[in-house]
Amino acid sequence: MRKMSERQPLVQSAKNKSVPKLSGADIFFSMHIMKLKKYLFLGLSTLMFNGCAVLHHVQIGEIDNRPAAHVKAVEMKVSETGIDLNDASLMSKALLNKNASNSVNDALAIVGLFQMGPRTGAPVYTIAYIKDLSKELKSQCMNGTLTGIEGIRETRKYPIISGEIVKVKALCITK
Amino acid sequence: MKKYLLLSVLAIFLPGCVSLNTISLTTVPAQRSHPVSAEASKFIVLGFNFDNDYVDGMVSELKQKCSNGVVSGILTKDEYVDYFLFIFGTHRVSANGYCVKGHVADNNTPADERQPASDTTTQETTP
Repeated sequence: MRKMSERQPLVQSAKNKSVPKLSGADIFFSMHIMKLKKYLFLGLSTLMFNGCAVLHHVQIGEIDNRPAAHVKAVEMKVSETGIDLNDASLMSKALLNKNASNSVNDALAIVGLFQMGPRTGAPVYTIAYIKDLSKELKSQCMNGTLTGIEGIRETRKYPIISGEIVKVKALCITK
Repeated sequence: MKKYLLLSVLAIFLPGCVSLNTISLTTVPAQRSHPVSAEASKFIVLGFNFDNDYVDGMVSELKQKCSNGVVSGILTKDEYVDYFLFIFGTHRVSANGYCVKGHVADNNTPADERQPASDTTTQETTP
C-alpha cells in the first residue's frame, strides 16, 4: 500500500507533463524569447554585413607625369541604393509569420523577373546617378588635362540594401 | 594510409584558386623599353573587408617610377586568389605599363594635343 501511495504522485506528475498548463507569465516569456530571437537575428546580421566593401572593378588610365605648371587632384563619387532580393527574402522568413513571409517572397519573385542580365553588385532602380559623372569631372578641371584617371566600382553591403558606388579619381594638369 | 590521406587532402585544399574579375588596357606606345608596374593587395578573411582604399596608392606608385614621363599601355588586372574554401583569400590589383620619357612620337602625345582621326575622315567624306 505504501508503495502504491508513493508511486501515485509520480503518475500524476507524468500526466501533468503530457498536458502542460501554461500560465500567463509563461506565455509572456515565450513571446518575449521570440522577440529576442528576432532582435538577435537582426543584431547578428547587422554585425555580419556591416559596411562590407566589395571591389568589382579598377581601371587606371594613362598617366602624364611630365612637368606641369599646376597639378590638382580631383575626385568624383556617386552612389545609388541597391536592393538585395535574397537578403530581403531571408529577412522576411526570420521576422514575419509564414503567410506574410510567403506573400513577401511572391512579390520579390515578381520583382526579380524584371532584373536580369550581367551586373555587379545588387540591382538599382535607376542609372541616372552616373549620367553627369563625366560632365562634373570635366567641370572640376576647366582648361586642363585630366590624367591618371582611376575608375573604381565598388559596393558597400548592408542588410537588404547596399550602396552601389562609382568613384573616379584623376589629376588635373594645367600648363 | 593516413599519410596518403592527409597528403591528398592537402593537395586538394592548399593550391590557391585564382579568379580574374576584370581587365583593362589603355593605348600601347611604340616605345616599350621601360616597363613599370604597381601592385596593391589585401588579405581577406571570411569576406570581411571594410574599405578598398588599398588601391588608391597605385597611381602615385606608377608616377614615382616614371618621373618626367608618360605611363601608357597600362594593363590593369583585378583578381582574387582563394587560398582555402573562400575563408582565406587575397584581392589583388596589378597595373603594368610602359614609361615613355620626354615628349615623343604622336602616339604618346596627350589626347588634347592630338588631331582626332575621325575629324580627318569627316573632312574627306564631306563634299
